[in-house]
Amino acid sequence: MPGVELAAARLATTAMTLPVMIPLAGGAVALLAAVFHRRGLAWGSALGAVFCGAIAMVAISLAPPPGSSIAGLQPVMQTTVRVVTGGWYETTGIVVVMHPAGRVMGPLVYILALGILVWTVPDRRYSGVFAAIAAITVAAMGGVVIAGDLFNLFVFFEILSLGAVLLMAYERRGAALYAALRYLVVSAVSIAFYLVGLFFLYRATGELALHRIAAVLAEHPGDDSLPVAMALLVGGVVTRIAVVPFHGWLPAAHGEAPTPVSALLSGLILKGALVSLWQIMELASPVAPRISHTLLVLAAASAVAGAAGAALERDAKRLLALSSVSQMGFLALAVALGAREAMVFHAVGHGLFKSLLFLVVGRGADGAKSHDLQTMQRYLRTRGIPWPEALACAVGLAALAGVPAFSGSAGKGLVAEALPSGTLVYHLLRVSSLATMVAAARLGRVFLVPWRRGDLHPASAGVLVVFAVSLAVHGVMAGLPDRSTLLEFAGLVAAAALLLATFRTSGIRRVMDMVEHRRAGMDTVLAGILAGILMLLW
Amino acid sequence: MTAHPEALRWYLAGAIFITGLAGLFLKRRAVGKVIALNIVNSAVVLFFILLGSEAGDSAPILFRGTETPVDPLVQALMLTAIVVGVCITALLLVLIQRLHDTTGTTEIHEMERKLRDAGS
Repeated sequence: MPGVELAAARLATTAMTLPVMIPLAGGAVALLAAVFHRRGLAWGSALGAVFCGAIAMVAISLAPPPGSSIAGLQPVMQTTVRVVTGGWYETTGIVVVMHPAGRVMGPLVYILALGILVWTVPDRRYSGVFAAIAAITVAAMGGVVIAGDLFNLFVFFEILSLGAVLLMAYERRGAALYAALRYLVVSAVSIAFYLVGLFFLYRATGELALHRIAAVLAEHPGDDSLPVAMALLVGGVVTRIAVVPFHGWLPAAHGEAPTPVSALLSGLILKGALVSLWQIMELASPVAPRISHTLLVLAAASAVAGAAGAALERDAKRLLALSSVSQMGFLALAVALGAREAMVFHAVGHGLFKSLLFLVVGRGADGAKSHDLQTMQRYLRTRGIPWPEALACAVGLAALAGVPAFSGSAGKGLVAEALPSGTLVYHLLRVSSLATMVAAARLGRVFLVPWRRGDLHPASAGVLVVFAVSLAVHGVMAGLPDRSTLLEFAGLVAAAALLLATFRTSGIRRVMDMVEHRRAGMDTVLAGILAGILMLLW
Repeated sequence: MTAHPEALRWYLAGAIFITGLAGLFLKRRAVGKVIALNIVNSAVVLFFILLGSEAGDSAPILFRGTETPVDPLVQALMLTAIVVGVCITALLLVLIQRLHDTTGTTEIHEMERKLRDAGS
């Protein structure tokens, strides 16, 4: 019966879109429930939808390409699955793709989002509307990961930024509202550049789907407008992952957002865009090899600048946000070098430890009603911290600081391995690790307080413990450190201790004051984006 | 440079893009920046529509006798882009209204200064 087979084939191709459709539908139901002030129902449907979306995402990330005889987890994870949804013709249908990078990043995004949302449920400040927007944001994130053409990528990026902005501004504090406004302006400007890039690419190739563009480019690679198109596309996506000088929006956006939103933003929203950047760089590097070089330089610059900024920061959440700039530098470096395994490994580690740290630090900052490190320390001394938070904090900080056998160190090691040793960038990465260690030590000191049974809800505690254990397992998965890694770590610790000693001097204090009073305004942030685009075009 | 009518359209669209971009940097008030952003978006829409019009000259509705329709794909894309742009604009204006309620100003530098003073 050919009709039945056709229907089955259509159903199978539509299944690829389920990770997006389920949370989207769940978000709509949750929004309806929130209108009638049914908080429980809203959270239930949002969490249920994200849970089912996560299962669907894991399922499609394990699917081998149709019609192939590849078996076994490892080989399947290396393949790309590409289907046209709804059984349409290949020339007119919408392409959904499961890229090798997306096979890990997709499930990571959903599982982290689920954990962070479960952590949030007990907090009564977050209403049903929050749950609904969070579910829609997760759907958009899934869309970014599986989008197979550049225009759908644009649409999902826009839904993502709308969702992220609503979540950021949720508490309606002035600083958070302003950070949200700036983020929205920045994302709209960057996406305008992206669309212009798409225009040039469409004019040159007449295609939108990534694999069809690649096929056309392989046949006629010579068009003059292609490097311009690629530079604008890369610039638009790189703004989302906050590589220097595109990064100006990030410290305020992640630093001022409500606690679970900070965790969502830096744990996963940064990660979805990495898959897109990877796919666009696959198109760009053959026709415009110079863009990879520029990206490499910018990524190394963000690794150092972000870490240095974090080391000098007094605001605990901004410290974590700036360290995200540094870690995204490492990840963008892996993209520029074409080191996919390193990128995926480090992205998983960073997603886990940055979400964990934001959840713990954010709760501390909420309690202290201040993000200032010293104020938080005074508050935490009287409150104490419950053991799940202490565990989460210890594992998260060890991963951040690059302690051997924890995932931060292993991930950075994998990225550095892809580089030729002895180059300038290689040494810059060491400087970055050193500065990150100083930042982690300054943050860690705040949490050196007595254990106490706190008011942590069992659900939140459970999430922290699960994340911390997964993070520890992830670190060990890379293998135990050898002697040279341990020696290098010892050297870095000594250097970091020396550096920390200088933090008591007035010179460093003055620099920190300057950092605090010279926060970039909107014009500076926009100028950074323009400068970055010009660098990519050059 | 000869003012060929075909080329002139592209230069005009480009000029609109640059105008919007300049407004984004030079306008001091938040609402001005939102308008500048809309100008940038309109320029991008114009780029695509001009590109689509190179394929033909009649509406992409296939009656008998329409031999050379314009590229319908870019029109579909730009409809989506316009809708997305409207959503973004609406949200931007809501945020500006809220910020005005908190800080009493829509001037960006003033807003930044007041929020910084309130924070420290």
